[in-house]
Amino acid sequence: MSQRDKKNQYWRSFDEKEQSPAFLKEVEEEFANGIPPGVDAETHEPLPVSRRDFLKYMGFGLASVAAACSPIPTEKAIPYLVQPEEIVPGKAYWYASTCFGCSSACGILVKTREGRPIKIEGNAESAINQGGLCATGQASVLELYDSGRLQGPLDQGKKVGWDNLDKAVLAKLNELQDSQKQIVFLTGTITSPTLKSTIDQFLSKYPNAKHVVYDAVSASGILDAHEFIFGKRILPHYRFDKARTIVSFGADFLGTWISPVEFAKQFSRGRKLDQKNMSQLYQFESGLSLTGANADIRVPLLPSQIDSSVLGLLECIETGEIKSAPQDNGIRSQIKKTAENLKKNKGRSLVVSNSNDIDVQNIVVRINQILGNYGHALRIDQGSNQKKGHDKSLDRLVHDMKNGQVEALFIYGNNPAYSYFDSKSFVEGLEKVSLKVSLDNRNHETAQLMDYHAPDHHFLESWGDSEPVEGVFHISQPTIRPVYSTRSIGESLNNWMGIKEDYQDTVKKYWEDQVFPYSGQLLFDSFWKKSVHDGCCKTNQFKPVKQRDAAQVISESVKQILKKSKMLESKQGWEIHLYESVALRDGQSANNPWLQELPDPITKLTWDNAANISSKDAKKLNVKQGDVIAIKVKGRTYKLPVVIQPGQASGSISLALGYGRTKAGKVGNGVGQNVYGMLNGSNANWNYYVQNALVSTTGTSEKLALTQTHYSLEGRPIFKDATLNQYKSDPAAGNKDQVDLVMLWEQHKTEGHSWGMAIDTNACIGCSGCMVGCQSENNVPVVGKEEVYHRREMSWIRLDRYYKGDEENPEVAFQPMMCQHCANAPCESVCPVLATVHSADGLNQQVYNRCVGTRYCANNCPYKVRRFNWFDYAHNKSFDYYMNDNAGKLALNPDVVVRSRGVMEKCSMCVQRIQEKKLEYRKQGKPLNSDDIKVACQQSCPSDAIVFGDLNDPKSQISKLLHKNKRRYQVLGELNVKPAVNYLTKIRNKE
Amino acid sequence: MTRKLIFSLLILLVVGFLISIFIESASQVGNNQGYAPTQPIAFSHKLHAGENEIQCLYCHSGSERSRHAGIPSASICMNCHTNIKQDSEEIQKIKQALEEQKPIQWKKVHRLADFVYFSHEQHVGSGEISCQTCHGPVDKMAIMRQEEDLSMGWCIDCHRKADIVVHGTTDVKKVSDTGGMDCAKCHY
Repeated sequence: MSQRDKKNQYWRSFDEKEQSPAFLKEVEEEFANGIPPGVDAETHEPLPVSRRDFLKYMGFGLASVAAACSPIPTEKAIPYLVQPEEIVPGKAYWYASTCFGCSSACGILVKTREGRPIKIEGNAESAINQGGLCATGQASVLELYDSGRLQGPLDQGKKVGWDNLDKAVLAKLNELQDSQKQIVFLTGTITSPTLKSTIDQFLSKYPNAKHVVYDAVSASGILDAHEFIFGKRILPHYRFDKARTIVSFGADFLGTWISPVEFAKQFSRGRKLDQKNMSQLYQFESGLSLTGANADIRVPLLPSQIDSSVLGLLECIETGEIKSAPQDNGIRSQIKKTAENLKKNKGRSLVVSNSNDIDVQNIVVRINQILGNYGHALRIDQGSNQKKGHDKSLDRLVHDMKNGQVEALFIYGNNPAYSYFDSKSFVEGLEKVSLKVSLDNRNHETAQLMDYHAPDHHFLESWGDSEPVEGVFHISQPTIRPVYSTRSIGESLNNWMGIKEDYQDTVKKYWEDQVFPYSGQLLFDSFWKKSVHDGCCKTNQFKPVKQRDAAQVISESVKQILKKSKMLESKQGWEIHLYESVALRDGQSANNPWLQELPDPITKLTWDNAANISSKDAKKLNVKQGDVIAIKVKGRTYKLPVVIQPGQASGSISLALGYGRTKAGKVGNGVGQNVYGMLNGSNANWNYYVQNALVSTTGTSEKLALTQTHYSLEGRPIFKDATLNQYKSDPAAGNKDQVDLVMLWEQHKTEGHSWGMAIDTNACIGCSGCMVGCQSENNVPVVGKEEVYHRREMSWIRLDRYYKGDEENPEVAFQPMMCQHCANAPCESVCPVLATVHSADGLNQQVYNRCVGTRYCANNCPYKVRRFNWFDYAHNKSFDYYMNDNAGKLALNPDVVVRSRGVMEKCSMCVQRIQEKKLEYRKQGKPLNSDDIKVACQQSCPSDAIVFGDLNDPKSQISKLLHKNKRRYQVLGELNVKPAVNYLTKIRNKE
Repeated sequence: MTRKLIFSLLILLVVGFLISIFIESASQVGNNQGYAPTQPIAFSHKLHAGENEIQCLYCHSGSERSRHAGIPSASICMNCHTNIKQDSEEIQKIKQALEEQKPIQWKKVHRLADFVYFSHEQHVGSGEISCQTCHGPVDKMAIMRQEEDLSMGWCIDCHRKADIVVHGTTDVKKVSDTGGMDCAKCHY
């Protein structure tokens, strides 16, 4: 390490960077936190084994041997009574549908086996996500089988039949028929045009009814600014692939902002090296986000400095001079460079901001107008419907409720008692509402305050549709008969309007009247069938918006921003930046164990939210990782453990929203802290940053279940990168230390196929969607916080995240890491029972039934990708997440075995998928086209970073990609283990 | 001295014998060869497949298309039995199941461990192996029984001996020569 250039070394944690003695001692030990079996995890005391216990276990052992010799128990085989003609048991069927995991409304394909959905993948035909799907979307299949969902209608908390519920609600509604008080339908963003029209129809029956839309994490600022300037409340549809220069002020568009999968697809298309110009991304932000980690130039700054920086950028573009941006840390010079680049790329650039402040968004509109980006990289004639929330209308609703002006409240798809910043007022106001109906299928924080529950289906159980972007339609169709006694919201509303109609017909009718005429098709029947089959369609609707020059109307916004930044200069104290985490987003899916255990792509924290602070601030406060600090905001104190985060703007603390649920369910309750209460939202739109927070230490500390800091890099060149200019002059830049080593052993000969993988680290954005894809495909168990803390998480693929250089603003690298299927596999040579051996087609096979659990292989694996199965997760009460629950078991993939305790497991390169395609082709009598095999991680990748295929076939996609590719390298290639997984160097578009 | 030698040889012999018995019996754990449970409906393959010569695939239609051969649904039985032998006690049971919407709970005869992936489609659909190769003379069984031991050794034996035509050529190879002995062909 000492001889190498320290500046160019990647590091994974501060401990490693500083090579602290504690760290060096820790890396020597097999187990972090020292917990060999037989030691109490809490007290770290050895567990006593008495003579009695010893005899007991011996006796049990003998008894179980005897039991094993008795005849096996009878197993039932229960066929259908009437087998549907189109179903063959044992075959997977795929249905196109729409994901409602968030409001992006991506198109999906649902894999069903024996009539139950087991996996969700992106629909390649969809114009939105184009085949990719995020972690949240893929994990939503688990929520279908969540036994914590409402299992039927409730009247004042008591189970009733649907008829009785309808009677009760109708009786109440009839009383309200002539009431002049408000009847309010409070929903999240609804992308479904049919549902929107059904709600409108329902509300039209009442004289004073309205529909209030509320997003926990809102884009009100953008909508307001467009309303102010163009006279139409519209969210632009962004096209990051059409921009050569992308500037983002705080918007994490690759991770969470508006439609992350779509944006990731677009972004990665603009970053391909084979085209003329690679796009360049500038990110101005406080906490390190996924987008910031992928930025070519990242400028960390305080949340309060962002507003004036946006203004500074406008000034610089207009006049070349900056008057308003912050002076410190060279922010101005960065803005100047950004402005120059933007001006060079007029009409081919894009400036976005996640600010919810209308003034800031007005300036952003103006900047994009000057640059001529409207109509190119952002469009308002075919705008987006993915965020519709209106902050002020919820504020007004709460005010009206408190004044007793609201008679009835229906809620659907949101949870203000948890996520509204002033939830106390909301709850108080709710008490004055006489009819309270929840249509959500969970009894969450808000729903449990309601009188009537008419639980909606899970989206995989019901008909529906969506129009995420104007002119782009998705269909949603049931893929399973309802698991519980729920009813689709559309049907509930139809019933309450006295319309006896199946919701399927409602959707169909809407499509016939509103979608079909614009489709350019001749017959509705064939159009409908095709749409249901494809899951999506496009129409040629344009809703032209009159262009107006923002220059004349933004002078007030400029004044406001200047006034605010003047005010802020004098303020003292900490600034808090609130963000959505990639896994949990706004917290709606908090009861999903896959998402809780998905490590945050940046902090690598699971099962918790923490206070991310810079190392400078940590020194100032004298706190270490895990120490709990108390943050006082608006008179309330929040206690959170510290995560020292490189790249965090000094003076700011980043906190993830979406945690601290109290009524999420058995998995999500009490995980982390709810920080929605910190939001600022008195007069204007809600602000996702807070000034003047007081921070103090508490003297206590908490365990953090982090998945990285495990294993030291030992200074090896594991991740390789270069700048674009270096690459242009030499494609092998950053990848020159390749050596050809002498082989001591005879090589494995791969006949026929030779499976391999190529991972383009230049495309990988680190979103971690592949981790959930793998978990869903391969029945990877959830182990819980305690076990993650003991570093026994089971994920077959992980996303390593490395930092390089300045810890105040490091370069970040992401590297998906799974079994490398080495030709000279070190694991194979140490297994005493031949449980891990090489296959003829180049796979490193793990044979669970042969494994006796010596763990030698994991010990000898240089990549540390082997996972030992410590507990019988599928039958152990201590791991009550989903596998041990009868409903949750239905989400398992029947083509992959559920591993038992005491065996080693690891990535199999989705051998079940290889086998499936091989058989399919063999039966058709055609040679296998290996590009047709898509392994789970590859399939889910929104940035197409992973390619799998046959290395022996020169025509395969992977062979073409790797052939003479100077960027190709193998991790730890110097060990001569000859991995089948190849990586391509990352190219950064910077000086 | 000789007595001691004989004595220790004897002990070795006894221990060796015990070990061989142990290994023999251990290899029989989970082996269900000959298992022939009484089924809820006294269905006879001998009558249907043997005497009446009904094709296996008429009822077990998944054999060529799916990993599971499949047990026919009650409606398949009734395709014929709405006209034939309606009064039989056993047929009444099927009728009753359909009327009451209670699926028939057959006892599974051929049971493989969870960690083995066996595909009928691969063997019957693609490999064109006859059902009797593994299931024995089903057409002579009044009560269905497990004919072979279904052990891994038995599987591997066939993979070593069976011929396969290499795709796109007329070459004939053994299954084992084309990766048929790889663990991950069946274990995943």
